[in-house]
Amino acid sequence: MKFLIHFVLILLITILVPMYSIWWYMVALATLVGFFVPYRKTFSSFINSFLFSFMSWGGAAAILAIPNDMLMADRVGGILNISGIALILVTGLIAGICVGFASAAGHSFRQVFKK
Amino acid sequence: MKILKFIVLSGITAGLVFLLNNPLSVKESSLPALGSFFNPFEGFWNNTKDSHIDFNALSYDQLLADVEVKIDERGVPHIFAQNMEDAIFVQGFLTAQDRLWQMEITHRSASGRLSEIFGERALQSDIRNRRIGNKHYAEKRIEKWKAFATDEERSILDKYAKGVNAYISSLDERTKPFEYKLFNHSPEEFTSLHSTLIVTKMAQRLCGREEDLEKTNALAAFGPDEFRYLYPEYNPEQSPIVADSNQVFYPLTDDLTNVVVSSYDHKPFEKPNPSNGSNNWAVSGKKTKSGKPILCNDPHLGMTLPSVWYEIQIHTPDMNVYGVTLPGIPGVIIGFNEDIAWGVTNVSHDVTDFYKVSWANEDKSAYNFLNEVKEIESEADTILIKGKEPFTQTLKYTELGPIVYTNDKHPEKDLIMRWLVNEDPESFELSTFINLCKAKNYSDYRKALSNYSIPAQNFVFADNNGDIAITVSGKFPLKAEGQGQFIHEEIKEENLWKGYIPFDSLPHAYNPENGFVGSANQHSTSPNYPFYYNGFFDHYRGRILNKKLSELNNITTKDMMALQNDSESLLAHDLNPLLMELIDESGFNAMKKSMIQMLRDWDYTFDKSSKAPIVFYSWWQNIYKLTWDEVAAIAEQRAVSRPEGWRTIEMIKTDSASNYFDITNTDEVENAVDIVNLAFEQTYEELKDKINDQDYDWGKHWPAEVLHLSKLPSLSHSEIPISGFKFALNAIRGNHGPSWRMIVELDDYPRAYGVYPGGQSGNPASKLYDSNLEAWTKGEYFELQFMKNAEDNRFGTNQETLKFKKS
Repeated sequence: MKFLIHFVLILLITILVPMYSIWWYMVALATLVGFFVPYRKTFSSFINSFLFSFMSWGGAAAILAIPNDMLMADRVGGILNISGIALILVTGLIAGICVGFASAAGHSFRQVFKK
Repeated sequence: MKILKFIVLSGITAGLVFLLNNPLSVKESSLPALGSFFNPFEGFWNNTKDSHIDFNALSYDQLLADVEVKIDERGVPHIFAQNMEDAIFVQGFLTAQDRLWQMEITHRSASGRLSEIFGERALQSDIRNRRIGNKHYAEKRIEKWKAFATDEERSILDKYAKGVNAYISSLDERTKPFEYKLFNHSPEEFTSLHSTLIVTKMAQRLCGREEDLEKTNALAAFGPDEFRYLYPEYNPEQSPIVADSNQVFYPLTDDLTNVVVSSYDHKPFEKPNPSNGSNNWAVSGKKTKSGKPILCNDPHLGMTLPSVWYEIQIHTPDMNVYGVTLPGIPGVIIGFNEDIAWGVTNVSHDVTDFYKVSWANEDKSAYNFLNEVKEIESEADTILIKGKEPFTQTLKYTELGPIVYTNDKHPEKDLIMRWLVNEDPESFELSTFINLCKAKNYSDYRKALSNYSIPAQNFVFADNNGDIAITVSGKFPLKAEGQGQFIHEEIKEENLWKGYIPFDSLPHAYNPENGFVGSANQHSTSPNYPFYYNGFFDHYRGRILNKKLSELNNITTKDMMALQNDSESLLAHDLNPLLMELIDESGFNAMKKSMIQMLRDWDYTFDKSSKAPIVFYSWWQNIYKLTWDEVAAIAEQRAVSRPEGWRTIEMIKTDSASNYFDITNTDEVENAVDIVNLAFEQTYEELKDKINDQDYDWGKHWPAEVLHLSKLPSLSHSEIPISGFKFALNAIRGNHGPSWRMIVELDDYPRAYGVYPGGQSGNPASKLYDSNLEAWTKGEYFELQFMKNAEDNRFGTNQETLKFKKS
C-alpha cells in the first residue's frame, strides 16, 4: 500500500508539476514525499523515488519518441554523441537522480526526529 | 550524524537542481539548461509533433475572408485566398510554422545580432555586419520607400509580418521551435525591417563581392603593365549572355599609368562565397519536342538545413503562382504562373567602391567631401555576447557610406565603402516579384523588371505565347572607364557614380534567332557594350551552356533535367589536352603511368565514381600554387588579388617562358613545362595511397554536405557522394550547389518539376526536414503540384486541408 501511494505521488508530481509549472518544483515536492512516505531506510526512499520518476520521465519521452520514429531522439542524441535510446534513458535519469535525492533528503529529515 | 546525512543529501539535491537549471558551458559550446530542455512536458521532446495548432478552433481578425490551404505530401502549402493580402498573411504564418528560427537567424545575421545566440564565435561576423551598416541602411530604405511605393505595395510586408506574428503568438515555452530551446532564446516579434534585412543578407551574398583593396595592393606591388598582364578584365573565350556586335566597341586597353594607388594593410572582411552563382535558360518552341518553350533555373547557393528556399503555391482571383521564395520574403522569387515562368541568376558586377577618408580634423568627427567639410554621423554600438561582456564600437557614416576600415596609426588610410545596396532606393524592389507573380506576357515581364534594383539578376523568361527572353536587371552605377577596381585616393566629382544605366540600355535578348537564351554568371555582354562594368564572372559554365543548348533539338523536359545534372567541365576541355602534351612520362613508374592514362581516357565529366577528376583537379591546384608563389608571398604581408585560373591557363599556352613560372626560392629558372611536371610529382605524392584504393573516387574525394545553420553534425548531412564540379553546370562543391532545380514546360497549363536539397520543415524531428534530399542527390525531380483550384484532384487527394477562418 505504502509502495502504491509512493508510486502514485511521484507519478503525479513528476508529470503535473513540469507540465504546468517550473520543472524543479517537482524536486521540492519530492522532499515532502520523502518525508511523509515512511520507509525504514533512506536508501529505499531514494531508490523507489528514483525508479518511479525515471519511469515517468523516461516513459513520457519514449511515448513521444517512438511514434516519431526516433528522428528527434537520434538527432538530439547525436548532438551529445549518444544514441536515441540513450537519450530517453538520460531523460529518465535526470528526473530519477533529482527526485531520488530530494526524496532521500526528505526521508533523512524525518529520521532526525526519529528516536 | 543524522543531521549531517540530511545536510549532505539536501546539498546534493540543491546542487543538482542548480546544475540542471542553468545553461552550461562546455569548452566552446554552450548547452541549454538541461532540466527544462529534457523535461518531456516542455522541452525538446514536445517538438516531435508536427503542429500544435488546431485551426478549427482559431480565427484571425487580420483576415478579410476565409482562406483554404492544401498541404501536399511534401509539405508544400497551396494557398487559396480571396485576395492578395490574405494570401500573404497566410504565407507568413505557414512559413513561420516551418521556418521561424531560420528567419530569425537570417535577419539577426544581417543586423549583426548572432553573438546573442551563439556567443563569441559569431562576434567577427556581427562586427562586420554592423560596421557596414546593414540595419542603418535597411531602416533608411523602408523610410524612403514611402515616397514612391503605394500603400498597397508596402502593406505586403506588413501583412507578411502579421502572419508571422500570428504564428509566434501561438507559441509558448513548450511549443516554440526546437532550436530556440537548444540555444536558449525566444522568438522575437517579426517586422518589415526583418524582411528587408533578409533581402540585404541575400544582396550581401550576391552583389557584395569586391576586391578593391586586394586589386589596389596588386597594382601597387606589380605596377600598371604587369597588373594588366596578370589581371586582364575580359576573357577572349567568354560566351556572354547577350552578344551584340552592333554597338560601339568598348576599349579595354585602358591606361593604368595615371592611376595613383597606395597599399593597404587592413584585413578585409570575409568575402561572400565565390561559388555563389546559378544557371538559367529558356528554349523556344522551335527547339522543343512539344513546340512550347521550356524554362530552367538552378540557383547555386550555400546548401543548408533548413533549406535556403521554401516552396509555395499562392492562388487568388487575379493570380495563380507556384515557386520558391526565401523564408522572410513574401511572394515567389523563382517560379511560374498559368502563363509565364521566370528564373534568376546572379549578375555579379562589382557595385562597391572604396574611398579614402580625408579627415578635416584631429578627432575624426568631420571629413572633406568635394569642397565642403561634413560632419561624420556616428552611432555608439553595443554587441551583446552570450556568456561574455558586451563588445562596443562606434559606427561612422558619411555621405557615401560607412567607414568600414580604420587604422589609428594611419588615419589617412581609413576607408569609406560605397555599396549600391545602401544607396537611396528609387523603387520598391519587392514589387518586381509580386508583379512577376501576376505577369501574363512579355510586356508585363519587362514592366515588372523596369523597377528592379538589388541584387542585380539575370531574369530569364518564357510564356505560353511562345516568347522567350532574358534581361540583365537591376541598378548598375554609371562608372568611368576602369572605375571601381581600385580604392579611390580621394573623393572628387569624376570618381563618383554618375547615375545608373537606363533600363532600356540594359543587356537583353528577346526571341533570338538561335532559339534559346541563358546565363550562368558569365560576362553580361561582349566587350562592345557601351557602359563600363567590372565584376566576378564565370568562365566555364556559360560557355558549355551555350554550346550544349545550340546543339540540342527536339528537347524534352528529360533533356533539361540531364543538362542541369551535367557534370562535364570546359576547364578540363581547356586544360587537360595541354597537360597531356606537356607531361614528360619518361622514367614514370606504373602508377604514374596509370594516372596519366586515366586522364587520357577521360570524358571530362566529374562523375562521382571516376578517379580521373581527382588527379586532374589536384594537379591543376598544384600548378596554380606553384605558379603564383610570388603572389602568395605578397599575401603574407597584405591582402592581394589572385590571378584568375583562365589567365593562368592562357599563360601556359601562350607565354610559357614568363618569369611568373619561375619558382622564386629555387636556383633553377623554371618555365611552364617545368611547373606542369613538378606539379604532377606533387600530385602523385599526395594521391598515391588514395588512387590505389579501389573504393576511392571523386564522390569520396569531394563529397557534398548540407549543414544545419548551427553546423551541428547530427542535424546535418555530410559525406554525400555525388557527381559535379564547381566549373560544370552541375556546380556542386562541398556545401555549395544547386539549391533549387526547376524545369517548367509552358503550355495551356504548365507542367513543372523541381527539387531542392532539404525539406519544407525546419524541424529536425519532422520527416519533411530532409525529405527531398535523396531525390536531389540522385538528380531526380518531383512533379510540382500546380493546382488549378482548391478542388483540383489531378495530383490525388492526399493533401491535408487547413482552414484559416476570418473572425
